[in-house]
Amino acid sequence: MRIPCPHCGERDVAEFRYGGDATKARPAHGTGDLQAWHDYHFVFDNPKGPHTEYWQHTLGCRQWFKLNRNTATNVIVPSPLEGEGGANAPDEGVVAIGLASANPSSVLRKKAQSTFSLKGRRGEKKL
Amino acid sequence: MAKGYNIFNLVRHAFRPNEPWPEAWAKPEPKSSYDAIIIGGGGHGLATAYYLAKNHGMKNIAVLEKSYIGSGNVGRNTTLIRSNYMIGGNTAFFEFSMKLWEGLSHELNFNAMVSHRGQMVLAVSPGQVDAFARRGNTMRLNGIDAELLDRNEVMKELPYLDYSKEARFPIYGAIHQPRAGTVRHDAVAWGYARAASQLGVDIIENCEVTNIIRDGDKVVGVETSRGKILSNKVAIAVAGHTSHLAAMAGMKLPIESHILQAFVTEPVKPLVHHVVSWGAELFYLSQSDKGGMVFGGHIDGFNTYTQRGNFPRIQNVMECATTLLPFMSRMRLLRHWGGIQDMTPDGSPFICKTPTQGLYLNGGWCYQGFKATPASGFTYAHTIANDQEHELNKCFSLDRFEKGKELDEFGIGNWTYKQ
Repeated sequence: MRIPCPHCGERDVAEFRYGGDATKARPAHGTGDLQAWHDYHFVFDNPKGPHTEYWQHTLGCRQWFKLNRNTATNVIVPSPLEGEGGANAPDEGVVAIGLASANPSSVLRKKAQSTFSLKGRRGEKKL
Repeated sequence: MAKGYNIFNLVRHAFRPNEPWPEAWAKPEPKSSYDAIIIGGGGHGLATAYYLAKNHGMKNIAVLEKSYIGSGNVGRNTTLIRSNYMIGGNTAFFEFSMKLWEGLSHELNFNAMVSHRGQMVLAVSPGQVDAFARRGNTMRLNGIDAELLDRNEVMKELPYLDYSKEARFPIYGAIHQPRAGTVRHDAVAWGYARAASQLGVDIIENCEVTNIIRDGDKVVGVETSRGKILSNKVAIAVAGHTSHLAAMAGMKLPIESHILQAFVTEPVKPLVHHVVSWGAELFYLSQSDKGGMVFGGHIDGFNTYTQRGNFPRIQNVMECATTLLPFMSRMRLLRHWGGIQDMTPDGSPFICKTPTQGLYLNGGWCYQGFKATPASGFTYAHTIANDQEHELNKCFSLDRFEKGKELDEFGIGNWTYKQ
């Protein structure tokens, strides 16, 4: 399987680390509702089909990003880039695991993205 | 349908060439209703049907298999059996399974080729030797066989390992369970299918469940690719697709589906007489009766329902093989394949009732489904027939994470493979 890193382009899956379901919202800090924490930590949709998930490019730019992948086929479908309101838009969950939006590096990253386009190779990839 | 297998009908068939043996199990059309429906014709589903019929007198049962018998994980695993568990409920459950394996071929009148060749788990540090001593003591206190071997004893038993000074992971000793070993996995599926069929169970192949029908909080049947089938007892035993089936009944489970790969080399003369496992990395190897080295490692590491493995894990497993067993570098790989398994947070399974009345769950087997097959079927049948858990599967409940009663055999917390 090859994964299109939004920052570095398409690379082998060996360079990445899987980070789990990206659609789950972490309960608010200080939440005392144990059921909410239980569901957040243990329970998963685990769908056979489209899945939005976190990956980290551990052997590359080390950035976390979201990926839309079909778990029944491993086909990765295009998702809009960060800032376009799509799956790669940073949210609190991403910040919590290292994509600090307040960090100066994120400015650099955004700049890099403005000159880096995945267009032309973002069609459905058979893996 | 073939009734009894014995020397006389073997000889009779030898003198009647060109005449096939009768089918091992019947191929009935599905009826409109059953007393119990088991979804999944794998090892666990077939064993459950067999024990429901044998121990609980339920004959009007259907096993629904979406493909053919033996197409799923029961034909994809690396055939190991062992009971070297240390945590509460696991110890008794897997030892019970081992005891059922011991008499299985006679019970089913089908040669499952149960081979108690013993398993060696190699320790690669003094600390690991201590941990294995503790595990061995726990096992022996529970009446399970275990012995601790030092480096010299391991060298006598497994002379082909890398004992050189350059060995990346020096071998300090091993824990040996003599009763562990291998079983021919296809024969387990076929044997249970045949035995269940002879007790009147309908095994319906190529019948995929597309929905679980509920009336309020009760289950009333299933919709399948071969029509609607009614029953007030529906039991899920579908391994990798557990979440998929549970979603049909409105349930979300503590499960992620992952791919585990297995490998086999070309056949060679007998060399490895044990099951060899490694303490440095998740790696295990045995030699099949045909001569091929059958081995495997860790899961690929992300959730998927595709039964195709990725190259990085293949490379990792080959590195393990050649590091521990230098001769493996000269072997040629014949095949590799993948199976989908349902990983749970603590690495232990579920055999339990669900919030829907009449709907039962057997899943979450992680890496360890095959060795559990007989005990899983036995206790699941008890749970289904009595609507109450057996003493041995009380610990495998769905709510154990809420109650802080995880069965964390690895001892390093939940979701070990994500750490």
